[in-house]
Amino acid sequence: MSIRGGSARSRHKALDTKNEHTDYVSEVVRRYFRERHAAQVEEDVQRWLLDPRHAGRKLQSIEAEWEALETGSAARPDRAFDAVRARIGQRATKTVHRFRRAAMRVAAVVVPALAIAAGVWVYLARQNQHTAWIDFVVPYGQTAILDLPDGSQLAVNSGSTVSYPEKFAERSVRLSGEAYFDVAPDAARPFVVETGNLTVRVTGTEFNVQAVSGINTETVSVSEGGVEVLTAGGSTHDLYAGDRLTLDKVHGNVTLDRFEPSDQAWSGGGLSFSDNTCVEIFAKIGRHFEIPFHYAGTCTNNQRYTLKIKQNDTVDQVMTILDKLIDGFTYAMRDDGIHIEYE
Amino acid sequence: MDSCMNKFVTEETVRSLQSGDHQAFETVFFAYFNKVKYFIYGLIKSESDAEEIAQDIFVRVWTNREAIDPDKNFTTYIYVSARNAALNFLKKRHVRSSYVQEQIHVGSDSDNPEDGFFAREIDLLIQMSVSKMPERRRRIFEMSRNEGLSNDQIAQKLNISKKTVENQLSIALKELREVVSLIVLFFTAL
Repeated sequence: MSIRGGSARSRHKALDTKNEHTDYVSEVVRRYFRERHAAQVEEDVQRWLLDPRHAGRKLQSIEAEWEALETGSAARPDRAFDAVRARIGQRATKTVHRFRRAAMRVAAVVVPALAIAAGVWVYLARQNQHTAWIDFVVPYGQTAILDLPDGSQLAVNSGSTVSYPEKFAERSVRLSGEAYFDVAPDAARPFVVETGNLTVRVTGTEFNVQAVSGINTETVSVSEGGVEVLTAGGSTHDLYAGDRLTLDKVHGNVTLDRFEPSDQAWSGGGLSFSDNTCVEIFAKIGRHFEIPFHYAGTCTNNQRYTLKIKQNDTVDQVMTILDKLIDGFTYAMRDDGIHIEYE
Repeated sequence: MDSCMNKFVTEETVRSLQSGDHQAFETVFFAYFNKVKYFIYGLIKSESDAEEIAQDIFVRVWTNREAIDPDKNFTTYIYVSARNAALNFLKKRHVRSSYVQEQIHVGSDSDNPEDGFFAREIDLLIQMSVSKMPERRRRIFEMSRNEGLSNDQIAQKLNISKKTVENQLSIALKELREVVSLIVLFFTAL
């Protein structure tokens, strides 16, 4: 294709001076390069880029974007450096990985004893034809950290189960509940998270997945890097830092919006809500404190709330705050749990 | 902000890199990785793929280090690698598209008579502007332009006043006019 050739450029320089309308080319390149547009429009521009017409002008415009690109504020790519260094056989990471793998084999034996004390247990389950799967179960009222054999780290929220193959050759994880993923980069082996309705594919990034039974939505929130999400309905979506995808499990609708990455603070203890409805908030609190919630009436309050609950807050404190914050309900604490009555 | 983000890599660093110096590779990596990654992202619009492609490029910088000419501008070398990798990725992604295959046979002759016409570019600029419009304005605009509905019909369909339709269309056109002056002709003809 001529667009990649270098010789076309010199010919086009001459053309340029006599034809000022070639600015349309650089305008298309500039706007495409610097902004995001609807998927269909982006595809059209990509095909146009490959089209040999005005190839020299396109290359010039692309080079102008390269020159104008400022990346001073981007995070230092330490993980990418580690990944590249491992691939070209330069020291460090390789030995670290070997060490981690060894540590994990020990952990598989030791963890049950430790974990019971911590209220977390690990057991071998699901004898899949070839590989044994490990279920990592976090009871209600607790959160736990799971170190996977590839160096990825998960903060698993209360009432959640993460399953992964014991032989972690294929980086594949199943999730029921909520977990924050810090995925070790490995471009050659994508990391895949499956929930009932979503498949998230990544090569190295940080993101949160929520697929809680009893809540009608599943969400993927990306705090660093990017992921590709495949829905049960067959649509794919590329998400980047600050992007959030919400799947309505009932209707199959997908919503994309932005969030503040700091809202995933629950992974560091406590519980946080970002743009949640009161129904979602109550469901999450019920799981977090392991207290059954009973509901009467229908919630008509569709407002969304963003708030954080500290690690040490008691359920009484939390309910007192919610009572002041959220309109349209009354509550009573009884022996069998919390009774919510919607007005 | 980051002392490792050197703007330029010296000829000396490139020579050290050539002779297999790990420290030189680190310098080169941190000087260019983000720029390469976000440049590729700008072209292919998938960050995970951009990350992967950028890492591949730096693996190749190391494995092909002996072939790098220290007398030539290293930035140009990196730029050309990144650009070609991104365009190759797009080519693979769109290879099944009949449109591209058709175009490949059109040939690379940049002096062909179509050079004077920018209908495709203008169309893309319109598409990009339209895709950035607020939902309702976009819908009204598309009903008017793509479906050929009259302002009355649009008003009826969307259950809004004709005045609103007119206002929204006039804002839409004003936006487009700022982008592409030719659009005026195109539109008054409708």
